[in-house]
Amino acid sequence: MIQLIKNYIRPYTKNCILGALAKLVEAILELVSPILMAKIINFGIPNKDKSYIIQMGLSILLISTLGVISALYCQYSASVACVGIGGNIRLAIVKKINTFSYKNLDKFGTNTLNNILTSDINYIQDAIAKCIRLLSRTPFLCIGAIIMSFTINVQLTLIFLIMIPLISVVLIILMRLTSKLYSLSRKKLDELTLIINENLTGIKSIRSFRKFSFEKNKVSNKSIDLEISNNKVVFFSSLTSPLTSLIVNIGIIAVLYFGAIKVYNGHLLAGDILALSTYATKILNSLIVTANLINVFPKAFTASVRVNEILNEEPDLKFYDETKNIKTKNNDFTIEFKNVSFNLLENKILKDINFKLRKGETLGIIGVTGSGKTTLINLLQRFYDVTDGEILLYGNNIKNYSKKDLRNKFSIVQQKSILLSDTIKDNLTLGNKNVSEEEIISALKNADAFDFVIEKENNLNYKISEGANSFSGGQKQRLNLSRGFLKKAPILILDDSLSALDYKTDKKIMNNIKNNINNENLIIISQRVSSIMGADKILVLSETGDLVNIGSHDYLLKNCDIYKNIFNSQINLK
Amino acid sequence: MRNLKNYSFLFNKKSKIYISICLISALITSLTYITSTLYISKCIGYLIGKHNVNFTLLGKNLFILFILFLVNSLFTWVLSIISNKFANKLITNLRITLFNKLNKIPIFYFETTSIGNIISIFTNDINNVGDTISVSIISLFSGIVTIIICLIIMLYLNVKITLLVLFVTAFNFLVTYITSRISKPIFASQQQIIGDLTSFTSDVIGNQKLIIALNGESEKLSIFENINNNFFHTVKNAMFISAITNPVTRFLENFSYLLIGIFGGIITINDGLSIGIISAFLIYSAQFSKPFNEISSIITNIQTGFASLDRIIYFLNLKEDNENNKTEKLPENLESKINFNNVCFSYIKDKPLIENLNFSVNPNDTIAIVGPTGAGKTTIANLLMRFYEIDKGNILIDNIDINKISKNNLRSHIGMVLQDTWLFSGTIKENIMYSNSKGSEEDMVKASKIANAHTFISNLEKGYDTYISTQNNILSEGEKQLISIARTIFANPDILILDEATSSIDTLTEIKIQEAFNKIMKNKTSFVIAHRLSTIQNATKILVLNKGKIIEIGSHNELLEKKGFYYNLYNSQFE
Ligand SMILES: Nc1ncnc2c1ncn2[C@@H]1O[C@H](COP(=O)(O)OP(=O)(O)OP(=O)(O)O)[C@@H](O)[C@H]1O
Ligand SMILES: Nc1ncnc2c1ncn2[C@@H]1O[C@H](COP(=O)(O)OP(=O)(O)OP(=O)(O)O)[C@@H](O)[C@H]1O
Ligand SMILES: [Mg+2]
Ligand SMILES: [Mg+2]
Repeated sequence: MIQLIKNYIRPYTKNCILGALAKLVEAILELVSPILMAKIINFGIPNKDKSYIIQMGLSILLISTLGVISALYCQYSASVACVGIGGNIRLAIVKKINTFSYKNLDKFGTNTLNNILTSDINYIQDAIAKCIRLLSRTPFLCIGAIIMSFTINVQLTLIFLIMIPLISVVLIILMRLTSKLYSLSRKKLDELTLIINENLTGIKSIRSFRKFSFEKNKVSNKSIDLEISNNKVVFFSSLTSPLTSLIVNIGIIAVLYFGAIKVYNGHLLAGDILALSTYATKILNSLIVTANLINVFPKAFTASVRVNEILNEEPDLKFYDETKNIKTKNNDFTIEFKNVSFNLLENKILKDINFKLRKGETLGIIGVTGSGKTTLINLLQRFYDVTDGEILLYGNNIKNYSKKDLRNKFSIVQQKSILLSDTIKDNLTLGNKNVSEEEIISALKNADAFDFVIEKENNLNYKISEGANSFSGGQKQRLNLSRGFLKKAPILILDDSLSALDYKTDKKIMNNIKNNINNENLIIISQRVSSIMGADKILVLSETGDLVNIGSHDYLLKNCDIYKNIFNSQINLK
Repeated sequence: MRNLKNYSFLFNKKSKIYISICLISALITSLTYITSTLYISKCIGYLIGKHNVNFTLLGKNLFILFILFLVNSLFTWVLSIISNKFANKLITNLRITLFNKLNKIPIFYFETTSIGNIISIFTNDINNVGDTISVSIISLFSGIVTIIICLIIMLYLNVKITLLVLFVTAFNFLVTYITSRISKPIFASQQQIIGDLTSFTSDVIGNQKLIIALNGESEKLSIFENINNNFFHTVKNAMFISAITNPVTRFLENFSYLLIGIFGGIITINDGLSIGIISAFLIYSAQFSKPFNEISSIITNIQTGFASLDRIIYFLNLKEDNENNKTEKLPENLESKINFNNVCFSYIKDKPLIENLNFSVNPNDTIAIVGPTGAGKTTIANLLMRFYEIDKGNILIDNIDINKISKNNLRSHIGMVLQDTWLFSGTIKENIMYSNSKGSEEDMVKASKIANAHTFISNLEKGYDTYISTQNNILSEGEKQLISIARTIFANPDILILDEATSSIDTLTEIKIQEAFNKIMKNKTSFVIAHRLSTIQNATKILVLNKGKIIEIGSHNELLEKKGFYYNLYNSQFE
């Protein structure tokens, strides 16, 4: 955790140090004013010297004012520093996530990433603020009090010297214990959040299966589980403050007893004992503050472990900053797969795929469910690296491209329609900001989406709610298509992106793509023969991830049984 | 002032026990704390001088002091445990109550509210309430007890100085109250920016794969930097404001200490009181004002707690589906005859979607609903499932108005595969068996075979025990649909609705599913919403829907002969 903070403390180092110093000043002033008050009592009142009393009073007022100013300064610095450091860490995480590949993302899961960005960082922030505000004071007060007691009596001070390490040990043990228990209950809370999240996204399914009471039981059980686990944490964490006070109080008893012996022997006066026990109380008060502080640390520790896990994760894909050795000679082939195989988690998903696509050609991909169609285009865009073989883009291995160059070659319309909870316009321009209103409208028209967008209030500025539930399945898909069109990359990929559309609309959009969209190459994955039969090349994938055959529609009808079967299953209308 | 009755639902009989224990512990801790101060000065009193210490009395008093300390620590612990337990219990109950409420809110609410916001009620707001309760029980209870005891002792010592102390304390309290008032808008804007941050993360980080594919990382990063900066400025200020109270009250505390010193001193000089009284006053006035400081330092805490509680209560008061008077029941052996009579429906007022929809379905028919996208096909299924209430007309099943039966009873007879596939985190087995708590594992395999999902599931390393979740996308879109079909088959409903259930599945697989389906569907009525001809051509009746109206109705061949809308729709693909 300390390392983590160290890495992100700049430019707030100044605030941290000055804040802690200001706190120190306040603590010193805090030790001074009782001395002045003692003077009022010891000299002012017995001498009936009212002007002395007022004079001392004004000094105390001055000191307290200085105290409050430095305290406010400390609070301000602490706020700046902790929120600033938290923000730095948050930014670092988001930047890190931006370097993650699909594999990295799958490893953590979005739920965890979200929790880390919100609550975990807050815990760290909290811990920093409390450190600056309170922790700098405690050692000072302890040391100050010990020095003062030394001047009174060395032997009795030994009691303090035993007490303080004892308390430290107790605090450390308790902290270890609660830390462990706390991360357990933290995990349980994450699980519970996930369940509730799924209940919200799947509310229709759950209601249709009437599984509510089942879900309710699940949530009750998890909640009770969490409660028990939280209670365990509380059992130990709330021990800190009573245990420290007990130790200090026993110290006070010891001071009184051994002090009494010293008084009896004439080494000390009663007033000295009073002073010693006052210092003990001072130590106690500051230690109790520290003890309460310790409840914050287990949370912050757990949080920083999670944060570090993200920050230390190696991005699974390495990209060059600049695209390397681009061949200047004109290459005829846009895409070339050479003996490409791909395994994921020991599963062979694609085997030995070979094909070439010329500039200007359209590629169709068809194959049974789970045959690897989506995987194939994921490899092409380098969301994963191939296990074997290589993929060439314009004659150059895709690994030689910089991330930006590579991704700007493709416009993808993904299989599952996703809309962010933003305005329609923001959603459409996600892949490309530099488009005019006219271009947006023409993209919408090409995707046959203009009519229903215009009907929504505020048209392009209509705010889409999470999950985009106020759109029908086909409408969501058409908005996704418009977004793909607007990115205007040379290679347009449609991954089963017309599946929720009726044939008429499908045909209309395909025609629009042919006539109005200027892309060099088009890749269409579809289960509809009608959508791909016009393609120059069609890949037929088998369920085992093999490339069964490749060729034009006419060629495949003659030479590929699978393709023929698929075609026949769809064609017998006429 | 807040109406405390609104919050009474938080407490039950058991809470009384908890609260009493807390009160007693608070009383004991405060009492022991104050008496121990007395005993320390008493012990010091025995140290008169050289060879003049009464060790027996001192020993006795030290022993009593030890017991006091022990009891104090013990009950501080008990107080903290019990108040936290109480808060935790309350959180659990609240969470369960809230979750219960989820089931009673109309679907409409969830389609217009961001999920992030609801989640934050379940996590943040509940936690805030819990924290507030545990913190305020400890501070308030022991605080009040301490205040009362100190007040009594001070009154006993000197009335004039006590009045001075009271005046100063009231002033302190006023100042903190005013600061907390002033800071309110700052906290509101803090809540807002926290909300912005949360929705950014859940939306953008949640869809990071899409962002990567669209190359939108740098753009989203700059938006995030913006939010992060705003977050810094707003939260920093809010934090500072809430941190002001503490030093300011400490300053005021010192100030009052001073006032008591000066005026107390002057009163002492004028009235000829002893120094002992003034020093005792200094101790007790400090002890007296300490709880006030503690309370003022948790005022912001309490404010956020109440704000959260208000959000929770708002959620709990959302309008519920009215399920009373739904006394009729569908017969056990359903014939499954369905009638839509003059059904009107609109999602948005004044924008009618479905007007005067009429059709009837005979038992064991397969009805296909086709039409352009956005025509209202899913809406019809939603109405039959009563996810939405119709505005006019009625829907009958076996001549019983579905509005007169409970949703539970209705849905127990209907199985639906939704257009948007939903699987939850768990094994494939759990996902399939979800739809029917009585089915056996054999039935599950049977259902998977019908849905053609058995082959690919068996090929997975762990088969049916493979863990799937929204986080690890190990299934292709089509495979997810297959599982979702298997799940609905496993439920073995009387009426089946398939809403584009096979849209991502290849036609060869689909034909296999269909063949298996035809066998089990003999005695069931089913609705099939689809575009693909292969899916619908065998239906007994095809409804052609456009803009919320039925424009053609008939069998596949009849509609082709008509050469109308349907004919055009399907011929268009090979033109
Ligand atoms: N929750 C909602 N709030 C407002 N409007 C809605 C809502 N759900 C659907 N709509 C609108 O109602 C119309 C019909 O939607 P519905 O989902 O029934 O279409 P559909 O026929 O199933 O289309 P698709 O084939 O694209 O799935 C659409 O215009 C849609 O925008
Ligand atoms: N992240 C992953 N980890 C493990 N297996 C995966 C992963 N992603 C996909 N698979 C598996 O790889 C196979 C191919 O998946 P892919 O999504 O490419 O299929 P698809 O051809 O697009 O199918 P569909 O037509 O259903 O979209 C599937 O069997 C799937 O279970
Ligand atoms: Mg796919
Ligand atoms: Mg639909």
